[in-house]
Amino acid sequence: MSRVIVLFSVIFALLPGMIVFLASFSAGNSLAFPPREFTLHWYGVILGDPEFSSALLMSVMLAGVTSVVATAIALLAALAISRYRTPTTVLIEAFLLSPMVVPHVVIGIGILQIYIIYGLRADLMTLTTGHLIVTIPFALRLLLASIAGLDRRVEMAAASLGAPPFTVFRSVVLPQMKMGIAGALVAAFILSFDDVSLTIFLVQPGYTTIPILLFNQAENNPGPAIHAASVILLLASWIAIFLIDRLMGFERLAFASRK
Amino acid sequence: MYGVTETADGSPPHLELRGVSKTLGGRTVLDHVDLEVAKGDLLGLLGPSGSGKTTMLNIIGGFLSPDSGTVRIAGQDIVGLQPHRRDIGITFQGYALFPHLTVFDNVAFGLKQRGAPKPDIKSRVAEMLALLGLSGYETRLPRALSGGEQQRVALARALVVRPRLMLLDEPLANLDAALRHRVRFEIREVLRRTQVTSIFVTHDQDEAFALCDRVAVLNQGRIQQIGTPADLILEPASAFVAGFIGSPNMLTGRTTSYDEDSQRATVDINGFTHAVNCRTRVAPGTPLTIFVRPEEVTISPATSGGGPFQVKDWVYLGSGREMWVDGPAPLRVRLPNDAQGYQRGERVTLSWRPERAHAFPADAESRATADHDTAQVWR
Amino acid sequence: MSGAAASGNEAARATSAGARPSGHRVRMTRWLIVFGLLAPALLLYATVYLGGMAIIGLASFGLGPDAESGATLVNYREVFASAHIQAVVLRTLRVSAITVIACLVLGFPVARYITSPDARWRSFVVMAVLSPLMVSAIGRVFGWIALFGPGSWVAAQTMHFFGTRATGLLYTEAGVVIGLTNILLPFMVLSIAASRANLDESLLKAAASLGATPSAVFWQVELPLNLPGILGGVLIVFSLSITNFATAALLGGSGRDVVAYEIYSNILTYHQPGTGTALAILLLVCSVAIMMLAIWVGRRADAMQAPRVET
Repeated sequence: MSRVIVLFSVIFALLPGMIVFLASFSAGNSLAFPPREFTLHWYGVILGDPEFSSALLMSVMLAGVTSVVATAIALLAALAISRYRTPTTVLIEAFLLSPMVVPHVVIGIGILQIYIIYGLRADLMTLTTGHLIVTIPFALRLLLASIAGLDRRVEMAAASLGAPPFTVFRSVVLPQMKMGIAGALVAAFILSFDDVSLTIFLVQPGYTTIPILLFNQAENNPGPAIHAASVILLLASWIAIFLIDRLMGFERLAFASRK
Repeated sequence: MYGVTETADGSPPHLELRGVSKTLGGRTVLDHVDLEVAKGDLLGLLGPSGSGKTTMLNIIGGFLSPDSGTVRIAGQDIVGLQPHRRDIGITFQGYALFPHLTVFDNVAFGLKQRGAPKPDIKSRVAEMLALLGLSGYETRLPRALSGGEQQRVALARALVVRPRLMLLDEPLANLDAALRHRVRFEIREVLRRTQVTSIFVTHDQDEAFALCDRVAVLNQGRIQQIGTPADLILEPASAFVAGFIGSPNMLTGRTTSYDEDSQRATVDINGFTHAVNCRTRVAPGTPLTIFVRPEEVTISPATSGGGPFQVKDWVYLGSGREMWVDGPAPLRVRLPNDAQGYQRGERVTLSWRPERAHAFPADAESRATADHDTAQVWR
Repeated sequence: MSGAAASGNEAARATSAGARPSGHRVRMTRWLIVFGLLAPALLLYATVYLGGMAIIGLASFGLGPDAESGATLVNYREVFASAHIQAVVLRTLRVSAITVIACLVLGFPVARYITSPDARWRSFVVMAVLSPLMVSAIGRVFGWIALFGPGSWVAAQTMHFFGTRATGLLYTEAGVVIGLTNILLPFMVLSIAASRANLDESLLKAAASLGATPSAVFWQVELPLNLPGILGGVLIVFSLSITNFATAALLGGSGRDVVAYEIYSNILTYHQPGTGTALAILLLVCSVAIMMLAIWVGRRADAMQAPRVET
């Protein structure tokens, strides 16, 4: 019996993605499933749509910048927290990880109010800043785990051989953290790319991301091209999962995202 | 080759395995194992890792089914019987105490499953805890106990239901050396007091010898020999047993002559000849593997002209002196601490009582014992 | 680890400095370095994150830059008094409760499977069931819409069988539950699986050898030891589902108005920042409290498997 449930759960988890994927090739005009004919027509439509392509560009840039900056900031913080464990740093760690337990909508509204007060408009910087708040906790978690797995004695050996702290960091610590850093980059990228609940409060017409675009479209009347658009969005996710699995094993990331 | 199986006093065995075989993942883990244990006996199951001891335990306990063969307890065939109906007490490596239950609830668990009335449970648990020196521990949780204490709770839990058989899986493995000696003694005492038939699985030969009336030596799924510790030391049935028990010297030589009546062979070890005990009839020229324990080798100064062996070095081991001697073959010799000393480089002669050196034809099985750490590689 | 790390690091620094380290100066430099490393993160958080939430907090009490009067509880009173908001909250709780149950029913067998030693399809199941953690929810929403939205085969069947409006399951609370379960199942699975990893096979064998029937082994040993994981999973899923925005908004239709959506519409659409902010603060407090509880439960579960002392 429990095997049946497991099977059902697997199908259930994969179902919507598969349907979107299949429906994107459908020639039929409605949002229907199962599809009747197969075509790549809608991909052409969507990629040609200026609104879509500018949103795509925005999404990619936003996610890219966010992931790099988030990983960098998280790396510095992770080093400080793991190497100088005091009650203060433990508190700071909890603080920096806290956005994971706070509802994104609340964070989004808060950031929106700040921007309103300072008269900031939606642009790459403001959106990035918002995204940083929700991506840094994840990156921090991953990097802390990565640091925790390092053998301190290698660093001690390097120091005993005369290497100053920064050199030890550069030539011993950093290379060993490559996987963790890469994982953090990918995770931060995909989190930023997919985000809706926070971004929706920060975007303005003309400055929007793919998920928000899809969100708005769904509320109004979505055309059949929406499936192609969704698949393009999902593509990023699938690539991210593949990369993460290669880098550190998908399971490790999953368990790191436990609250 | 499969060693003699017999019960101590000839009465029908309490536990009986016949022809038990098991293959796991393509590997034959147990190969036609026959085993008999008399009621009240403490049998040790000794063997290196991978010899099949744990699998045998799992089969007797009911967590695995044998591919072939029978397992009987007091005449009743139990293959096919679910573990919870077998009435076998088991202590696991790691103790497997229920972390969410107190000591009392842990020990009472089996009694509760059997539906014993509350006052009965209370008194029997109290009695068992007292037997194991755990009175007063009733409300403690497993995580607050030391390793030795957890071991005793595990034992109490298994024994309180008065099982018809006890299986102990490496009970001393997780304890440090000093603790092991004490707990070993306690376990033996408790098992004797409760008179329960027990099988004690271990890879540690000292443990097996100290705790058990008889020991079954297991290797690669087969029982090599069953006997008292004395039997195993003095009359090993196979090269594996000879090599596994203690850490004997292992020598290779060639048969020069053989006397069937006395089961003596004269062997030539790189020019050094000596008599050894050999139960198999061998023709002259047959290569032999000889096992002689360091304690059995006598050493004496060479007569003028030089002896075949030369003293290399020695160490003090606390329990005696171990000398390393080079010559036709390298040998370790055990001497008491206060025995006569020798100079490094001094030439000596060695000897041993023939019946204390065991020789076996040097076939594949003997060579397999090279896996076990008997050869000295100190050059 | 901290002790060894600290001393190891200190030793490293001392040796590499080459000079005789004076305690005071070493500590000062250390604090400077720590501060420097943490500064970007802390700065960012303080301004945007804390600042933002502070403003919401203030606004909910009627304070802040565009405030007319002084501190007031009118927003909160309105939240509690409004029948509309009460309905919204009730809906949110209802949907969340059902989602939790669904996640539990589906999640427990899955967690059991992936932690059992002889699971042949283990990594595939793990990837599949946990994929919603990383795969965009929005991207898959249209899958649901296509599956049982108007015009779909499922909708046609339901209309056929139940004769209801041709919207099928979509745009109902049921649709939201399905969507939420899909997204939140991984969290339940992870929580239970993590606590199961601590479950030793030998415990189950021990119970059986002591005479416990398979059913007794489950109820008396397996389930109690899994309880922290189950509890933690329930709390996490509940917290995430009461704060959910996107899925409810897209799949809900008439049932879309959950607390998060109410906040969104209050603040962005209807420009009623008052009730919106008050609701946001209340949601924040509730969800954080539940999460903290979940974390505490998780810690207690780990403590149960504390290492033994060797004496």
